[in-house]
Amino acid sequence: MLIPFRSKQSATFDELVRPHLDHLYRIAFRYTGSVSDAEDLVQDLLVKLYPRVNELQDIEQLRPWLARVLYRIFIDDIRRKSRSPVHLFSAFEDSSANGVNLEDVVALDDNPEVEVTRTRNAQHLGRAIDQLSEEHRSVIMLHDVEGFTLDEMQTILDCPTGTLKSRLHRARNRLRDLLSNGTF
Amino acid sequence: MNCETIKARIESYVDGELAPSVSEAIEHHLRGCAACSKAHAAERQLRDNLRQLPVAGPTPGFFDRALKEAALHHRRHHHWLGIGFGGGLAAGLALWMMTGWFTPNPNLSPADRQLATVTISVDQVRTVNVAINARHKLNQAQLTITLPDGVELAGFPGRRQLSWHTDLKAGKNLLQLPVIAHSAKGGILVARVQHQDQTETLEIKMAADDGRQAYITPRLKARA
Repeated sequence: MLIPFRSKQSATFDELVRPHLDHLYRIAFRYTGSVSDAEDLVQDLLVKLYPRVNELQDIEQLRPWLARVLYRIFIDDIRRKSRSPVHLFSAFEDSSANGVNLEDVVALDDNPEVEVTRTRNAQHLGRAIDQLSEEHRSVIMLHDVEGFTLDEMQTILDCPTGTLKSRLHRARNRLRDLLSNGTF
Repeated sequence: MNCETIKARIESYVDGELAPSVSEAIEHHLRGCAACSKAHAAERQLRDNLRQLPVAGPTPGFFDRALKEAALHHRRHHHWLGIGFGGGLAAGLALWMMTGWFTPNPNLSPADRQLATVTISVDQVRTVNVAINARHKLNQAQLTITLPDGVELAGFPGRRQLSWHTDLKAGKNLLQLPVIAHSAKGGILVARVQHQDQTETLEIKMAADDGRQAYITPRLKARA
């Protein structure tokens, strides 16, 4: 009798979570800057949530809720790893090892000069983002890069919208400073 | 609206958070102010660049694998729990001890033989081997060794407890403890393995050497 129950659980979990996986992976990549780390983060999330499939069925806004759990796992991971003096993540860290060469980024414009400029801009921006604090980087990535609203971010980061708006303002100021100073 | 007001609201304007009347007022100002117009263009460009930051996609088939692994992990974990609860050597995670000088002690009563006991010499290092058998790979299992008074692990003077995380491979994992007693007092050495919410504990009675060979009979406590 146990096996049929597990199959049903598996099917239900798949149905609930699969529509959000692409989005969750994107966020995980934004946080970690690495394909393998992003996959690990998503995998950890799924392993953690699988036993809670009944709870997932009762959640109305599953997308931000899943993003919230993902964020918590990411932060817990950072805290655990912060004991070691290792640079944890980068928007474009070791991109070649992940099979991403920025020169290969698909451009909408056929003009090669525009493509090179866009790629260089992306690298420059990526390095600046790396220099942001984790708090600033998270709000920039969630709001300005991935398009979450402040209300959704309130759920994800468990933080009032007023605080998030201030944080976003400071993060953008810091990012502009880094971009204009070029100190990286 | 003056430039200072515009500057303070440009982000909200770009985010589309302002009331229509306020947005109109800002647009009117931008049409007539080169400096504010330039600042607005810079803000828009930054947002565009951020939105276009590339994402390297996952490896092919990742989502299918990840969902399957979540289900498999859950099944393995519960299977291990189910067997572990039965206790003893049938557990998915079982501890027992083996040494090169495994010899039954004929002088112990049957009751005493139920205890895990190792006899070691005072001020002489003896290696106590603990075999940890894991049904499947366990990442980041926590090993804790708690020593009785007067007993140490060689190389860790004064330490009554040592704890660390390690990955256990599926099958037998050998933990070698270089045990040394500084008194004949003896006591209980506790070896504990924890993984998630599962714990296996092995208690070993340490007795002073009286010239006979050591013997081992493990007593296992499996706690769910």
